[in-house]
Amino acid sequence: MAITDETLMAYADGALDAEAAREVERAIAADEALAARVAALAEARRAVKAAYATPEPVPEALRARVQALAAADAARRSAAPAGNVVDLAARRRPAPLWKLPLAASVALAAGGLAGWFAAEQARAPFGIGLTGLGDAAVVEALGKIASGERVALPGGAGFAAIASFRDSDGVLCREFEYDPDPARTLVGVACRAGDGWDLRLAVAAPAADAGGYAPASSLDTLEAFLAATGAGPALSAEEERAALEALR
Amino acid sequence: MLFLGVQQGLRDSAMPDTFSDDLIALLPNLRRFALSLCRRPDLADDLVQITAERAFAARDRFDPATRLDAWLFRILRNAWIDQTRRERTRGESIDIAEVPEASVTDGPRQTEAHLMLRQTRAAMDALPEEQRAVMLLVCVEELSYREAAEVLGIPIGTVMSRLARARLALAERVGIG
Repeated sequence: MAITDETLMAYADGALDAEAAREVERAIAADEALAARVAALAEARRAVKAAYATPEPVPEALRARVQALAAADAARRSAAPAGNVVDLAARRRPAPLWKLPLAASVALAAGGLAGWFAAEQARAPFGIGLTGLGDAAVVEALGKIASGERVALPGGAGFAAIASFRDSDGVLCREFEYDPDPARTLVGVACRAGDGWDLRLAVAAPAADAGGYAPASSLDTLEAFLAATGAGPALSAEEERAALEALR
Repeated sequence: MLFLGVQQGLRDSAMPDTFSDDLIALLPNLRRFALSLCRRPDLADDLVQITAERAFAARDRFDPATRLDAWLFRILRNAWIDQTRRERTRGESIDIAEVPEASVTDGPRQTEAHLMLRQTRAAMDALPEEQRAVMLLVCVEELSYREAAEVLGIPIGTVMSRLARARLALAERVGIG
């Protein structure tokens, strides 16, 4: 029976059982051409292995994007219901932030938000200032709406409270979504300041319905924000209710 | 809940996440496979990112008793097929013209080993894509024929015939046959 190239290759790769291997050995002992073919098959493998032995370094941007995905994954998993942990996933409506469409534009509230809001206001009255959330309806909602609830605001805007937590100074903070109109969503974090609220972080995006992915830029921003503020774990519903009542 | 969840994940050192670590450790391998498929670094990076996104989304379906790299290669391979299908639908073709061909006329200072390496890479580039993929998976990533067959979604006999053909062609081209 003729010995196929596949069999010779399997022999060269040590993938044949003992009996089949002995058969190939007998054949190549009797046929120099077969022996040369086995050598070529083995040499090719060795050459390819050597040529690609050292992968090129992974670009830093790619590595960072994947690490952001890993962080989002860890967040998602730690948000799963588990004993003493608040079911954070259930409090957030679908379309998590890391899935916001690629066109999402991101602004970090490190003092640079004023211009952004100025521009926003010029386009469509936004009603939120940098030092306080000036729109009475938004301020009221921040102090009243329980996380997980969504309300319609005057003028067609929408507001949803996502979660409450305390920053490293123990100041009450709330993550929320604000839709100035159906086409746009602002995801923000506001923390209590005096009788009002300071906007600490804002991520602006078209309404998250496109199903696109923008894990990298948005999440990097969130991570930077969290690292900078040392945000605590989410308040439970009871803790949140008590904290909001204490504001009055 | 994302903001606090991320924070919690960072704090929770009691729960080691080897899936993420293992995936990140495999990035060079994933990118190498992606490059062997599309031969363009920008596309390769996109493919690897898509692979990571899909892998995290489907991680509960990964069987820890199997090789993670093979599982990821399969996701990447499928992403590549999606990509090429889309390109074809749009009537565009992946432009590989800008891929630098390894030159066989290196300067005299090139060592023989380096020359051999470049010739081998050039010979790999000259192979049909499906042969190149199987070469990389078996000869470089050291998958078994069966594992390679699962990555590529083809019968093991097809893997073996492609691989044998590819190796003999490469040996001849590089002059080691």
